[in-house]
Amino acid sequence: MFELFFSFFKISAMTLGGGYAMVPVMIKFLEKKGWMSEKEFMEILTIAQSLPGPIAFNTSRLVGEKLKGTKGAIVCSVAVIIPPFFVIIFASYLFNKFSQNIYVKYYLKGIYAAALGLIFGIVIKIFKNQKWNFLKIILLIIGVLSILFNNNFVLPVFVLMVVLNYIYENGRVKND
Amino acid sequence: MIKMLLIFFKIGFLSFGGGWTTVGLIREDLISNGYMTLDIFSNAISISQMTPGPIAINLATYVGYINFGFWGALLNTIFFLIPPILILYFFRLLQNNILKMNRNILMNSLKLGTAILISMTLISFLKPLFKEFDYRVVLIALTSYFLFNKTKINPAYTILLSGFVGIILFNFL
Repeated sequence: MFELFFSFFKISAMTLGGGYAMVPVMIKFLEKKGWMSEKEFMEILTIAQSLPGPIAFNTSRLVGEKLKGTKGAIVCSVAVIIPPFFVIIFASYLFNKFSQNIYVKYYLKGIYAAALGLIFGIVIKIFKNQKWNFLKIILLIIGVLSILFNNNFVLPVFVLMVVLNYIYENGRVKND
Repeated sequence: MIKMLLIFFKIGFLSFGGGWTTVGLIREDLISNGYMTLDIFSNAISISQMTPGPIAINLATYVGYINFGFWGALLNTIFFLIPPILILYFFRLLQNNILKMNRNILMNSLKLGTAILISMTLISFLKPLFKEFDYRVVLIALTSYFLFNKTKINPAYTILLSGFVGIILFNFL
């Protein structure tokens, strides 16, 4: 159990960039230790991706559960959260001291720009990664417009659009 | 503080499809409730990218910390993670019923939800650019888009390096 904790602690502390950066490191590690095959890991990854929550967190939790039950799940998910938590607190303390510095401001503006490009890339990936039909496009537009109109609508709009699309596609499958 | 915790609790339910989908929501909610200014939000993004950990959790920790100190950070992180933990639990309980649902259609519908969320994030990030157009921002954004979609470079490094490119571009051009 101790070994499990330290392994996930180490993986979490050493990978920048969250879930997708962590996944390949985790596969190699679990295989090397003989704890899990790549195939088993991939099954876990599929579940982790289809549930809400950060991928790194979901994956660690499910791997822990598979290896050692509920205790394992708790150990692994806590181990993954601890390093970023304390690093963030330390970094924000440092950063706030220098945030008025003009070079720090330029640096941040550069980061904002890069994040914009990255998000554009993710938008394209997410849009390409699904089948589109006329209704889905309409639901997308209505969804975006109503959230733009009022930010508080986001949770009901999300659920409503997902449910409407499910009912429509399910009905179409049954009719065929 | 309760309002801030509820914001992250709500976003916890929506965190499908990887961290970046909810970043726009977090940004809008925090700015409209006064927990954050635009500048500090950029701080938050860069700190989240410079440190290990998923971006959404990092944002929760950071926002909690700057507004309410250590306990704010801890509670915010926990509140953000409760919904995913609960949903997995219910998913297990209802597994037999969920199997009766068409898995592919359900996934396809959830992807629509994710598409709505990521569009909101993009719009949220485009706002400053519409207010004040800057070709240098566009230049960096296009480069990072290219690196993200055409190469296998870890996006965290692209973002970190872009900060230094920012210092050069915004200082000398």
